[in-house]
Amino acid sequence: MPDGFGQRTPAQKTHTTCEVAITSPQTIRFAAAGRVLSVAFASIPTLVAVSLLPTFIAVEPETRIFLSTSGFEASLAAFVDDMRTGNVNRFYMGRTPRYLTEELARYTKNSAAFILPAVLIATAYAFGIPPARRVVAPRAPAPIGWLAMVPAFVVAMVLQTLALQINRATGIHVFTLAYLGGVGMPVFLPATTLALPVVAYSIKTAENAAHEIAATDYIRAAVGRAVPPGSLWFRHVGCGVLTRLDDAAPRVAATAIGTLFIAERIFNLPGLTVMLIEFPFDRGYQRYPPEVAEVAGVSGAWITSVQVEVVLFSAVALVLLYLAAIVVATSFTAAVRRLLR
Amino acid sequence: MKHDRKRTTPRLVGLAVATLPMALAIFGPLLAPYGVDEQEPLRYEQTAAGERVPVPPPYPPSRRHLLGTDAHGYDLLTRMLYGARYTVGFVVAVAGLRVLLAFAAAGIGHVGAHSRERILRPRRTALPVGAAVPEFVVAYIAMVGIAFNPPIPPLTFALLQALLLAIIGLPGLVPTIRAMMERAVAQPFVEAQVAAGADERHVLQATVLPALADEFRLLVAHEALVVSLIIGQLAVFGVFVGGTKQTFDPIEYSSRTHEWVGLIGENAAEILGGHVRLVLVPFIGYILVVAAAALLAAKPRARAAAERRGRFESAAGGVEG
Repeated sequence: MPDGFGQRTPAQKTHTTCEVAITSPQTIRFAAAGRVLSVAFASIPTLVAVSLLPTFIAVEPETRIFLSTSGFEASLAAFVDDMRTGNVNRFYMGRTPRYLTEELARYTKNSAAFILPAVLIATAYAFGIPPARRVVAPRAPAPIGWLAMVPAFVVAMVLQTLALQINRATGIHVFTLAYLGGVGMPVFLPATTLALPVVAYSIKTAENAAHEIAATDYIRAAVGRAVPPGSLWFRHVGCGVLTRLDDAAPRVAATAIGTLFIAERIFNLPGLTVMLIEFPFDRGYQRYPPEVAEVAGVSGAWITSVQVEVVLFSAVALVLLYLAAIVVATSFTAAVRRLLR
Repeated sequence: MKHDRKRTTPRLVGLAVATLPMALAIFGPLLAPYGVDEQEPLRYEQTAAGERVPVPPPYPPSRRHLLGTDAHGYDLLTRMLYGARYTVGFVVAVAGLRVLLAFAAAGIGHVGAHSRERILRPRRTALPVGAAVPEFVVAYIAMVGIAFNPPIPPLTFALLQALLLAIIGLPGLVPTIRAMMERAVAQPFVEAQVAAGADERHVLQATVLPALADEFRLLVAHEALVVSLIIGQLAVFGVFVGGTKQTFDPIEYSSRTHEWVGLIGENAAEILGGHVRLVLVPFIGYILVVAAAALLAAKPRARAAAERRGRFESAAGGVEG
C-alpha cells in the first residue's frame, strides 16, 4: 500500500490530478510560454535598476561622495557616445581594450555550464525520487528536502573546509578549492554547491505535490482498481508532479541564479555574476583613456564606460540565462509528459 | 495530549534555541572578558638556536583567550559577545519591520472601511516579480555604494540597512499577507458576523486580527530566517550589518559591529590558511540564530496537512466551477 494512503480524510470534491486529462497540450504550452514571457517583461524594471544602480551609487574612492551622480552622468555620456560611434563592443581595463562580446560569451558559457545541468538534474531528480521512494521504500524519510533551509554560502564553506582537510590528509590535490587563473578551474565543489539547494528545493516541491495528489479521489480510485504501484506513482501521480514542477520552474531557476552568485564569488569562478557585480567595482575607478575622454567630453572623469556597458549586457545575459534555465526545466517535464502519455 | 505535544514541540525547541543568542544579545558586553578593541600584544618564542622570533596571530584557544584570537590579535569571544546584539537585534528588527510594513501595505486599514462585498471579495495576487532577481542581489546593489567606510555610526547605518532590507522584501511579502487576510475574512464565523450586520471594524479588531495572530508569529519567524540568510549572503560579498571597515594597504574588509555574520565574512579567507576556528565559532552562533528562526517558523504538522487539504479542495471547487 502506498505511503499514508487510506489514512487521510478524503477530499470532498473530485479533482483530477493529471493535468493532461483536463488541459490540452497546446494550452499547457501556451501557459508555459505566457509565464516565461510575463516573467521576462516583469524583469525589465528590475533589469534597468540592476543595470543602472551600481553606476548611480558608485563613488570615487578618494573623495567619498555619497550617491554622487557625476560618475553616472559621465558614464552615461560615454555610453551614448559609444553607441553613436559603434564602439559599444569595446571597453577598457586600465588602458587595455577588451571586447565585450568575447568576454560575455566566455563568462556566459562558464555560468551556463554550471547552472543548466544543475536545473536539469534537479528537475529529473525531483520527478523521479518521490515516486521511486514510495514504490521501493515507502517508509523511507523524504530525501534532502531539509537542505533547502541551509544557505548556499554555508554549503560552500563547509565543502571548502572538508576539501581542504581531505587535501591535507591525503597529501595530494584531490579538490581544487578556488580558481586562481589558468586551467585548473574547480568543478566538483561549485557544482555541488549549486546543485544541492536547487535539488533540495525541487525535491521539497515534488514531495509536497506527491503528498497532496496521493490524497485525491482520483488516485484513491486508481488504488481501488488495483493499478500497480509503479504505474500509479510514476504515471498518474507523476503526471501531476510534473505540472507542479512546471509551476516551480521560475522559482527553481531563481534559486539557481541566487546560488550562482554565491558559488562564483566563493570559488572565484569567472562567470556572469562576477561580471555583473564585481567588474564595475573591482575594475572601476580608472580614468578614461585620453582619446575616449576627449570624444565623450568627460576628461578627467574616474568611472569608465565599462560600467554601463558591462553591467547592462551582463544583466541581459543573466536574465536570458534565467529564462534558459526555465526552458530547460519545462522542456524536461514536457518530454517526460510525452513519454508517459 | 500527544497531539498537543506534536503541535508545540518545534516551537518550544525553537524558543529554547533562541534563548542563548537572545541572552548574549542582552548581556553580551557585560560578560566580555576584554574591551572590544583590546588587542593581544605580539607574542615571541625562543627558537632552538636561542633567537627570539615573533609569532603572529591568530593565537589558539587558551586560558587567557577561551576561543583564541583573530588574525589581528583581538579576542574572539569578546567580539562574539559584542556582536551578538547586532546579529540578533538586526534579524528581529528587520523581520518585525517587514511584517509591519507589509501589513500596512496590504491595506488592512481600508478593509474595514469598505463595503461588505469588498471584505468578502477575494483579490488576485500579483505575479511575484521579485523571483526573477534574488533579493540579496537587489540588497547588495542598493548597499554596495554606501556600505564601505560609511561616515555615520554603525547603529545608524544598521538602521538604514534595516529599512532598505524591509522595503526590498515588501513585494514578496505583501501578497502573502493579503492572501492570509483573505483567508481569514472568508472564514464562516466572520461571514456570519458580517451577515448579521456586525460593525466591520469591530469584526476586524475582535475576530479577524486575533485569528491572524498565530499566522503573524509564524511569518515574523519566517522573515527572521529569510533576513538571516540574506545578511549571510551579503557578508560573502563584504557588505556587513552596520557597515564595512575597508583598509587599502593591505586591502582588507572587517565588520564595524563585529556581528556574527560579519565575523564569518571577514574571516572567510582564513579557511584556506587552515584557521577554520575563526569561521567555525561565529558560524555556530549564526546557525543557532537560523535554527531558532526555522524552528519557530515551522508549522505544526496537523495544520500543514489541513492547509494542503484545503488548497486541494478549493482547487477541486475551481475545476468544477
